[in-house]
Amino acid sequence: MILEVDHLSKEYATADGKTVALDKVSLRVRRGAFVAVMGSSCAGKTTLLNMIAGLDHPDSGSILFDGEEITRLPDRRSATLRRRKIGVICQFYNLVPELNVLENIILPTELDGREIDRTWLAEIVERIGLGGLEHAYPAFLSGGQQQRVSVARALFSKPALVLADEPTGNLDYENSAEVIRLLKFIREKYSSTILVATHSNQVAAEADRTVTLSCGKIISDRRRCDVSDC
Amino acid sequence: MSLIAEIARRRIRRNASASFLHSAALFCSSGTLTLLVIFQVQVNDSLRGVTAGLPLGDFMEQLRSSVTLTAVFLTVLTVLTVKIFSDMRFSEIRQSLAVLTSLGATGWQKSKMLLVDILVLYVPPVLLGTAAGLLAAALAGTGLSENTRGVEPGLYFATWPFLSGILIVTDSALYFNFLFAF
Repeated sequence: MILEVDHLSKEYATADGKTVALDKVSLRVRRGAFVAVMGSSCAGKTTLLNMIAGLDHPDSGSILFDGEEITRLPDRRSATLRRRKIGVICQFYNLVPELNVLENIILPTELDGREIDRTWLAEIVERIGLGGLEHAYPAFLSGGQQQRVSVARALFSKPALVLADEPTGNLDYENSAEVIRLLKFIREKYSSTILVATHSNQVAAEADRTVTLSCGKIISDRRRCDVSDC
Repeated sequence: MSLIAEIARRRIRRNASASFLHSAALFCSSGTLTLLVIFQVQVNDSLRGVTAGLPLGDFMEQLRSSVTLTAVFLTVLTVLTVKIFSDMRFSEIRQSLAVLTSLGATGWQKSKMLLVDILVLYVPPVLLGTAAGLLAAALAGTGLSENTRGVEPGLYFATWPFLSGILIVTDSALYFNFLFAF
């Protein structure tokens, strides 16, 4: 197992009192799985992904990532994990407007002080279909192109785990299919594990497993019949 | 150059015109306020002196009230503009920090970007514009007083609101441009 979430709980204080974002959620994911986390808005999908990414801390419960308990990691160690082993993709792309396509893609690797693999960079740019737009800035790209850059950025360091929060939320059918294709490519080539929070049936149909959350609880966990151990 | 430094460099270049406009607007605002204060002091002196009790005295009282009102209006406008500038700046900073955090930037890398934003993009336009405006207006006010000795009082006192009026109009135009540029 690459990921073991055990009895994870989180409450947020709101104007109306406390809101339960996650209520004793437990989930085990094997290496190389493609898991879709579905559920309505406020079901707890983003909270779950943020906890796994180390961007938020749970009230109780634990997360074992690659054998390491990560819920109480110091910020420094948590940041290192995100640079080296976890790729994060957001619905609103989160590209740095001051950097062009190439620079956005290599940013996490550069932040980590590692050497840039130029061959892999050229390959990934071709694969996301942005050959010729390497030096374009995000403001000059369409939503679909920006999301492809965001996916490429998350995949460039060949992470063990990719966390994608509504990666196709703002995209049309064609661009969504392209994003899914990229996620599947990285999984096949580098055995990366993909965890996608989504509303999209198109994404869920491509996943080996669909976990549905409602009001912070897992209400269903379905595996595709041909993949029983994901 | 590291990408963090590159982000800072390009952000400075991208925001150069907005920062310049903001600085120029603050220059005009602080300059106008200083001129109005000097003017008010002179009106007060005058009311205690030769014009006291004369018809010009009533006019001066009205002038004093209008100047106070203008100064208050200008102060509110300046404070609001600085607030808008700060809100825009800090919302951009928050967004950048969130992106860098999600990509695994270290505390030092984030601090470096934050420092550039605050020390290069935010503080200098506010400090330089305000300080230069205060100094220029103080010098202009002193010069105006010294060079118009013996001029007919009505004409002399009319010079100040006229000068301040020009600055207020320039100031408003700069604020408008600043908000538009940002």
